[in-house]
Amino acid sequence: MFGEKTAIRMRPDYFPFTEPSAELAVTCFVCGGPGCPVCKHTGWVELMGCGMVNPVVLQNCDIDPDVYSGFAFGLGVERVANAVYGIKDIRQYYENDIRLLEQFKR
Amino acid sequence: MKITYNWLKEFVKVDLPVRDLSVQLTLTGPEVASAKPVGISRENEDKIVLVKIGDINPHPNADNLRIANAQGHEGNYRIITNSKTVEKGDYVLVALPGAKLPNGMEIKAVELRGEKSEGMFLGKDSLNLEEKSTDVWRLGREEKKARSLLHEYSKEDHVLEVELTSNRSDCLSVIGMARETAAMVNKDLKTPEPKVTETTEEIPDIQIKDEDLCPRYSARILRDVLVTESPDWIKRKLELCGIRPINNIVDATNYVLLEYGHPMHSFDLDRLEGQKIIVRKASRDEVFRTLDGQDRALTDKMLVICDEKKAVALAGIMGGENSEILPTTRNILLESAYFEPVSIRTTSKKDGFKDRIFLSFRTHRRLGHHHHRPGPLRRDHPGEFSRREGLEDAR
Repeated sequence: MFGEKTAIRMRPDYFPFTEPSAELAVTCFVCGGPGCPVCKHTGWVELMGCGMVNPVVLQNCDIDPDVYSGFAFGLGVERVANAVYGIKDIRQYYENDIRLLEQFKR
Repeated sequence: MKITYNWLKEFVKVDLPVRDLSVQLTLTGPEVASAKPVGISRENEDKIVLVKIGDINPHPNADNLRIANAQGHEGNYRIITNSKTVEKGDYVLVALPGAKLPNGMEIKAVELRGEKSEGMFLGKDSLNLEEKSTDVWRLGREEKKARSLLHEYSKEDHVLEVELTSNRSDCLSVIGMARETAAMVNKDLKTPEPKVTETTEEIPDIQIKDEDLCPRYSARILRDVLVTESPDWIKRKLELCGIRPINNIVDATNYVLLEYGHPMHSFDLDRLEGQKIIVRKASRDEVFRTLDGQDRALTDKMLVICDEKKAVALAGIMGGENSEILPTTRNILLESAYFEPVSIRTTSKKDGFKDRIFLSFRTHRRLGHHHHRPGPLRRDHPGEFSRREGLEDAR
């Protein structure tokens, strides 16, 4: 989806509602690694947080955690679109600039 | 949270270069957001030198500039500066052409408004020793002191900025990060062994009125201390980690905070009425001034440290102006305690405290107060306290 040169990184993270938790990032689609304002000079762009649903959460929803488990993830579609289309600023999606929107004509 | 690479290495023998260590730690859990080089690198050793300002005069064509003639060991230099504060006789650092500063800047000989400059006087920020300097770094007016100061601050090191998730408060200290590093690279954690070189028979008068909010309070009395400047090596470590050095007593507790992650506080014993400590909830509408000069309105939910008559500190958050260590302080009550984390958090939110100190009590939420060690062990942390008769390093 992001092209062959893109690497993926998963690292431990923390959310109160998942255990364990992780963060998925891809190599920055603007600078490709060295660092730039888009990736905040780290070379990586975070795409989503995820994790296994904390059993207490399931319990609270009357779902037996011994029978069911869950995988949760949250990602911003704009971020992914940025990565796929090479757009640097998610505000552009909301600015209604025809010059951008036109390029997505089917 | 900032720690330094060299400080971390005091507790774990990791031979990974900074870059690799940062990447690996990030992959394991604690995110190393940045690793900034500080000090003077080997390549720059002969290009960043200590000089003494021989004379300094206004620039003929620029109001905000002055031209200085500076003398160093290897030669004399003509330097143009926009500094408002340097004077004849000051020792400063000059970066000569060819020097590459950590921020990427390369020094060249230039001409400014028709006058030549053979280099540049440096602010502490040019060596990443602080975020943003307001002026050129002055190292004093005595050569020996200036050289010794330079020797300490020029040491090559890196400041690691670590971003932690709220479940990892165990890493909120040098030793915490060292423990994580040791587990990661499969080496031993070198546990610190503080030496107590003085014994005391004096038992402080402590009364805990609220055991739920304060399960444990320990303290020690230190008599005949001399409040003075901390040694350069302590000041440097504090500054690099974003804490401003104040005096040897306050700096010692901050040093312990950075290193162990345990917050401690010093009270001027003679300013504690009754020379005692009472740990209790505040009364509604009790007013109290914290040592940042702000008046705080207390509620009956907040835990305060008090003397016989009044509140002297907001437990686990900030000390009061009424008991703070002054240059004339002679006797100290040193506190090492454990306070209930949720209460600390609630109280600090009420008044908008951003101090990182209360974050440390999160550690205790994880580890419980079993991890809390008695005050006396901490008190002799190297190089902290001085006696009236003279300076005496405990290390």
